[in-house]
Amino acid sequence: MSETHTETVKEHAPASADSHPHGAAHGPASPGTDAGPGAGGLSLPERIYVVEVVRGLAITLGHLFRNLLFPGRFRTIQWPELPRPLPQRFRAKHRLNKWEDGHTKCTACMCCATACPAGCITIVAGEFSKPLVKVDAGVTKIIEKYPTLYDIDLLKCVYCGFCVEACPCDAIKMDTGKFPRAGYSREDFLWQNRFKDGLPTLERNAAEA
Amino acid sequence: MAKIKVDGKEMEAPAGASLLQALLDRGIFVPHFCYHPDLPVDGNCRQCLVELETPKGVAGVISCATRVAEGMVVRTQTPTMEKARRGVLEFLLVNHPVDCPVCDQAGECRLQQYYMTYGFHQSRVTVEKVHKNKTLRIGPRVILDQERCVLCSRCVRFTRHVTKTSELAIGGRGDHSFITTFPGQPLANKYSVCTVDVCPVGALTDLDFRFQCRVWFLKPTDTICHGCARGCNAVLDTYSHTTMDGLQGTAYRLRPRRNPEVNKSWMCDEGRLLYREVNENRLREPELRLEGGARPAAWEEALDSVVEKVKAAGPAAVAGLCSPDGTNEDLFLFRKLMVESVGTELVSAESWRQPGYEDDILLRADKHPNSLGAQFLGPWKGLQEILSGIESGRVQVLIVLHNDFLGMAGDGPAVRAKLNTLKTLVVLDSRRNPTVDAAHVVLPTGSFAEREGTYVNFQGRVQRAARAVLPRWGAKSETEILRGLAEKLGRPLEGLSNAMRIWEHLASSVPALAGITYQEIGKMGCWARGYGPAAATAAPAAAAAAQTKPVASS
Repeated sequence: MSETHTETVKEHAPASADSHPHGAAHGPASPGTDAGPGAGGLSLPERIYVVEVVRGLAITLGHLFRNLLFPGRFRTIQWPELPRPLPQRFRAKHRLNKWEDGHTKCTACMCCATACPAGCITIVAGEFSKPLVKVDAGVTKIIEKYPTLYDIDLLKCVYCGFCVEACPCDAIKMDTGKFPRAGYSREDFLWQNRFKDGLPTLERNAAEA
Repeated sequence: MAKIKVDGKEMEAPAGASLLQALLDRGIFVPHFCYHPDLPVDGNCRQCLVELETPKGVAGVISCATRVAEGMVVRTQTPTMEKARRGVLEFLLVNHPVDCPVCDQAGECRLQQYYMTYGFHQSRVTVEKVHKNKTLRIGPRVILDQERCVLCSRCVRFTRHVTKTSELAIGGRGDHSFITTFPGQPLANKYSVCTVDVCPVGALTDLDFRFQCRVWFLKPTDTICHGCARGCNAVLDTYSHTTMDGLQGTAYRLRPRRNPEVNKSWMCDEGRLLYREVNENRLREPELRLEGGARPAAWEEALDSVVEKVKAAGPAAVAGLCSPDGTNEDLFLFRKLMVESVGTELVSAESWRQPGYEDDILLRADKHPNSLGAQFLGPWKGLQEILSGIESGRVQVLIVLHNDFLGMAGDGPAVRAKLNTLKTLVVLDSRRNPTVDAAHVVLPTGSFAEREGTYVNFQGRVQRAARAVLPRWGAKSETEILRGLAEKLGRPLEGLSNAMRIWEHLASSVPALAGITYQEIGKMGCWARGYGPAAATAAPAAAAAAQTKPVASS
């Protein structure tokens, strides 16, 4: 990007703001301040093209020689053989949290499905044959409801994390660090969970990294 | 009428009426749990506090048990009152489990609503809450959670004063009080689920709706229960949310809508289950069972084959059968199709459904929602006349609209034998039944949820049911099918394109409905000409009303 162009952008950006002190001077009466010399706002060196080609090649060749000379600082990531380190709060594929005894923490309240902007969560609620009694932070909880089916269509999911925010039971998490990679059918992207009396009977994770 | 002053505004209210009801009628927000317009006042929840000026000074009184009197000065929004209400709410929540995420009432819970409106307190309870019994199955249709209960006693009063069965009572003392049934006497009356409706919190839940759907996914539609001649005003809740798209249009429950003239706030347990007709056992596409076996067909083809059969037989050999289950609009249109487009006079609206249980609360023996409406639209021919016509070979094509006469015939095989000589049986219905099974052409219509129209109940009240969902799967509305047939027969039904247009024609040709508009019917219905309490005082109209008999109870 040439100097001229950068200047142009700098001059233009604040002009849109009403509070700009020189706003009056830059009115529609002074179109000459548009430094863009020609179609598409390209400067002369850009239009000649040769300069830009050389600049681009310089980057490519620079990487080539850097990799040849310092193989330890190799910049290419060998994904998927070598996973890329993810930030700690990366929103990856979902996980349903469990109590220590394996019962799901999800109570099928549908808060996640309600919050989901993509409408990708399907839940069918069921009732425990005998209510589950749990003591959480000194409070006795009597749990009657659990999901018999909990599915997320990962093709519809936009990984916004609203479901995690909405969950009142800390039951859904997006901390697996995994995300679907490739599949051969739509069903491959359906994350399916089935429960019986709160215990998982099936979890199908297809097409997962 | 008495003049009262509320929050500085002068208004009129009926003297002697409950102050709370007067305020609610005028759209003034007063929170309340135990007060219910159709139950006696109990005044136990203390939530409806308002400030009242008395000769001895300003007093906080519960508005439900205060009667409107001339010159009353009432304030509902003062800081003192808000503080007092918040205090009462905090007491009610002391032992409440606050399990809103799994509670079916969430979204329509008064406790939740009031807390989110003016509560917002942090719990000051540091000790373990009092635990009571949960998931108690106190009757075949009702589940009790004693922990969520606020002891407003609405359900107790309902069983004492409405059904007069008194199954429920409050036991225990202080914060250990609980709702309970008597040993060996479950909550098993025919109106038991009304206790779930009156429960302002999630203490009583309906076993049928329990955990099925969150209420905020549901869209309410004002409808009329079609279970009996009472025509209870009801709300049909159908799924309508962007998530779980496959459930779109599924009906989840039918619950009463208040109409003091017809059903007050109540509805029978049996009627509530009628929502299942929207979802289950539905006919999804037209079916042809002519020469060469049964097969599904496209709408065009199915209608064409009906028209072909009708034309081949000739007008005199066609008969029509509808029933007092249909709306006035459908019956009117059906008759018009048969008489004007087909050209036959042999149209019947007789139903063989047997009378059922009746009591003096709501349920009527006549199980047709529109017997009186069918009678207004009469006279009709008898069903026997059609059957003897079939037997003699005179009738070759029978078109049936919502009438399962084969299923309801006591002597089914005998009637079926008579049909052997019938060339074509065309059945318009929404669900599979014996008549549909015997049909040669099946045309699937929408269920009651997909229908729009009016019914006249046994009292002569004209009531309108709105359409909750568009015809599901491959079904079409009755209006569309009947109009399609008329058009293909070469005599289209001009100007009768929707329920409202049909009603206009109907109201101008039927004396009992003369001049009634949709506006007049409104949400609560209106009396047919010559019916209702006003007409009962006028002697000639009363005589006319006395002569009328429901069609199907004969």
